[in-house]
Amino acid sequence: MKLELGTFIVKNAVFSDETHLKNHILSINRQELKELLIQDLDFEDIQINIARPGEEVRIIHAIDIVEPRSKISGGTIFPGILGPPHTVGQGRTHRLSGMAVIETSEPVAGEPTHWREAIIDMSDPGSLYSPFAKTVNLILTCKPKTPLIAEINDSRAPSTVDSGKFADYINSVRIAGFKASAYLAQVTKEMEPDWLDTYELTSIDSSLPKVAIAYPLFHCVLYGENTDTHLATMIHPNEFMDGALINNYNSPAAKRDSTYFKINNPVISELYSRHGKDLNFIGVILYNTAITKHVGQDRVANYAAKLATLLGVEGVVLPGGSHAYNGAVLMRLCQILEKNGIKTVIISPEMSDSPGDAGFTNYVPEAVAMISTGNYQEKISLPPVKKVIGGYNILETDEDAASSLTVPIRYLYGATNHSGFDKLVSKQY
Amino acid sequence: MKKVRIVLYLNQFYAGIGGEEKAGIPPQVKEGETGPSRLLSSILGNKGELVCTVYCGDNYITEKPEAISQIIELIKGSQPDVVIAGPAFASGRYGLGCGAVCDAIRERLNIPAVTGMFPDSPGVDKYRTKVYIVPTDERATAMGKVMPVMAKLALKLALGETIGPPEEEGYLPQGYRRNVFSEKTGAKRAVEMLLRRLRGEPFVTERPLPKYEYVPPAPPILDLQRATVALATEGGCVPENNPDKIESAWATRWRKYFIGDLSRLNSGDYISIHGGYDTTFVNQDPNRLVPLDIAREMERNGVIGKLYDYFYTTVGNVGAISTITMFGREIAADMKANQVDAVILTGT
Repeated sequence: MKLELGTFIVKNAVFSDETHLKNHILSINRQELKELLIQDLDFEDIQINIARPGEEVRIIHAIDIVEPRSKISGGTIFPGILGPPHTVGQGRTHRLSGMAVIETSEPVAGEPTHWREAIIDMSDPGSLYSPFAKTVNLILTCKPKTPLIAEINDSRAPSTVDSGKFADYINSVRIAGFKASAYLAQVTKEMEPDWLDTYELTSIDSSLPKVAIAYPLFHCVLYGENTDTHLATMIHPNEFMDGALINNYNSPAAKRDSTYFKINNPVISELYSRHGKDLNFIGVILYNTAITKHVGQDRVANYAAKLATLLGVEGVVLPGGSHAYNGAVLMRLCQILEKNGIKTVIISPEMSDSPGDAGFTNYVPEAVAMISTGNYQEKISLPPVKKVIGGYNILETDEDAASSLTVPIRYLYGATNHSGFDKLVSKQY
Repeated sequence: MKKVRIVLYLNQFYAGIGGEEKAGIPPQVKEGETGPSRLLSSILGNKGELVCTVYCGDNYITEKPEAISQIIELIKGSQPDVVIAGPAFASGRYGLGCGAVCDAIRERLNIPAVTGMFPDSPGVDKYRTKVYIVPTDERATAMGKVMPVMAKLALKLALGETIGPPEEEGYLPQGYRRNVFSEKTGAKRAVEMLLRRLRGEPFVTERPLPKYEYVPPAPPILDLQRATVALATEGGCVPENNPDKIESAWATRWRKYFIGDLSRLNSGDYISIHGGYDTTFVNQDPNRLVPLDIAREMERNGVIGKLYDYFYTTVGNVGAISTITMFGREIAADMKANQVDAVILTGT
């Protein structure tokens, strides 16, 4: 599988009569985009805004984040969603780098809000904690058709409106994000990229150690199918780059693995950059971690470890949270791999609430090599801002989102990304 | 440059007053020099001045509720910029006393403080998150090694300088996980760490695992009818006036109490002083915690061979793991010396 990825650098975006990319400035026909998105999705309205790095803007109630990409050949971007579920990861794909599409929406009736809030501050100090403070962001603020609207914080109360539909609505919101992403990137169809990368797992010196990634699926969608009942499987890293795997769950913002982090997975980039030099990048094992019962966790961990053994890997990188029931699957997988002589490194955020709390809810003695992506319980003071996009009040605290806020960095989108996208780390004091 | 003002806290022994027989003396200002004060002064040079030494008996400070306030009053008068307590080495009561003094100085007077203790002593687990504790050897012969580290840290605190991570400044990690920005992304660091592992090179995990020792279980008793069984508890069951003053939390001691031919523990004769649960039901009927009534019946009926003449007790409430581990070893040794074959250990 060989993928040619053409990168187009975007330095700014503006609204205009026509959608095109010129001199690194993306002009966007707002009305045309809005009509495209509302057309077959269940929205009352979509507000479209732009936020740029350094602006005193706070984006709230964010859901998923996507990098604008489009396939020129070799299938459809976001297969199974925007097109048929045919294998991607080959042919040619174009991306707009320095840009992101962010969907936001007030929570709707029935939607759990306990870790729904996700904030991106475009200026300091909050900007230090989110990679999306460095991208030019196109924000889609979605509003469902009237019957789904509920008061903020109302989601726990029995709702008289059709609250079972919230999942469908949020699904539509995500699809809007994918559509917008493809729409924007399509402007580059006939253009030459700023640079072209070729991704291919070429055969190399067989003495180099074989390394794989074991990537956790937690309420994801793979080629359009929900992964909640899956065991484990294998996938080519290029398929990530074409959006075969997308985020379908609002976990706490700091560790929420948005589609952007899947398309631009940093462990995949790192392993690709070293393929043929220090290591032999074999591929990616996907394993389901949305399992609460021990026997199910054991089944998946054993199955995934078997795939690693069949592939002959010697080392596995395990990104993912070490917490909660999904973390238990990761830890069990780590244990079985190590017992089979396969070396592991886990990448995980921490949630240490008080001194002496090592931040572990699950661990196995074999988890001897761990990378920390930061303690998301640590608090940060954010200054007041001039503009809020996405809503009005912070969920759960109900504070005015434009005011100064003190929040755990848990609320900052991508602050402790579990694939190690950024540089935050927690140290022992 | 203005000299940093330092007050030193010592126990009765290091203040040169006396040994265990003086452990009950109340707090006082020490007139004249002591071993530690001489050492500290020589280390400080012209950077700091030891303006006062305060001492107190180890029993007084751990037993009298007014002790800390009295010590604070004595320290206050000297207007220190920082307080140094100990080092206490492995001494349990002295360590707890030092920790208490440092904690109170920081909280009530907003003055920084430093102490030194052997890492396994109970004062460490109780105070490590609140107080800067420099780790010491078990024995006082290491005084010359540890006092300079304590003095350096104390001066930094007094001058309001930023205190770096434990491995730089020489104090025991306090258990905080603080965020900093690395030079490399987590993904890059992960792949580098994996390559080190694959090459057999040393690596340092960024998240050390909590350390719990695995204790293999003893083999089962094959002949219970001939076995001597002892009752033990960490639920804090003690005779009515807690004669050995076992603490309600962070216990520093365990005891065994004679039960001889007693067929049950009577309410009023025995109580629980455990600070971690509602002891009402145990005080109503101590057999709910230490099942002497049932055990005695089993002995009478030949289900077990013999009930050991004593029951063992301590309080497990927020017990320092290292201290409780030590108790386990000591109690096991005592049981073995008394031919105990099996234990019924009750907790809460």
